Amino acid sequence: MQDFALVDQAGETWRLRDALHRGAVVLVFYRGDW
Amino acid sequence: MAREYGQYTRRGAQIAAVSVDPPEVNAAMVEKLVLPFSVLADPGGERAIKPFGVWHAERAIARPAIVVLAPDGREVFRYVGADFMDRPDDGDVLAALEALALPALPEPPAPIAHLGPRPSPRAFALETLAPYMRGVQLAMSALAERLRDAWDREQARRTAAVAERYVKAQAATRTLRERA
Repeated sequence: MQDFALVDQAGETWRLRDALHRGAVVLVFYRGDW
Repeated sequence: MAREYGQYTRRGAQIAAVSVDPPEVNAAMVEKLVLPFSVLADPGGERAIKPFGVWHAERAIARPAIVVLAPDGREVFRYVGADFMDRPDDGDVLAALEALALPALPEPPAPIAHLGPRPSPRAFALETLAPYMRGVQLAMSALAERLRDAWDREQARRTAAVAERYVKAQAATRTLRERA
């Protein structure tokens, strides 16, 4: 599994591995700019 | 998905949205759409979009896709759409989560948390006013029950009544706007 860390809307780091530690993760990829 | 986030947390899942947009754009979108989940910035697509195989090379954006990962990292659901209207049925995503039989996660904070009044001398936006005043009304009514001093109780009741009028006025204004 590919771990990654990205910055969220509040400028905080969001890490996949940490989220998976809490439960399942639904990644929603989208084109952006809604 | 945002309006039914409880369906996901009850099945032990968190949602994270990913696009090439920078955090400032994401912050604006979260506020505009009152999103209860994380919206992540992957500007070049290198960290998440490309590794997950959903990069649209010609347009340099993410393809619309939903990928569900079990806590052990296994991919248990994947749907890659042709365009942004091509989406999987929410029921299919929820069924994939259901099959994992995970304990529920805490409910997300109410969307009102994103709508707090801004530290600005400007008046409330109409959308912000009602949730704010509903909170004031609730808090003041509760306080009025607890306060011992008669004058204090009266102040709390009056403030609750003012907040209630604001809520009603906001609803009436929205109705007018929708008719316009």
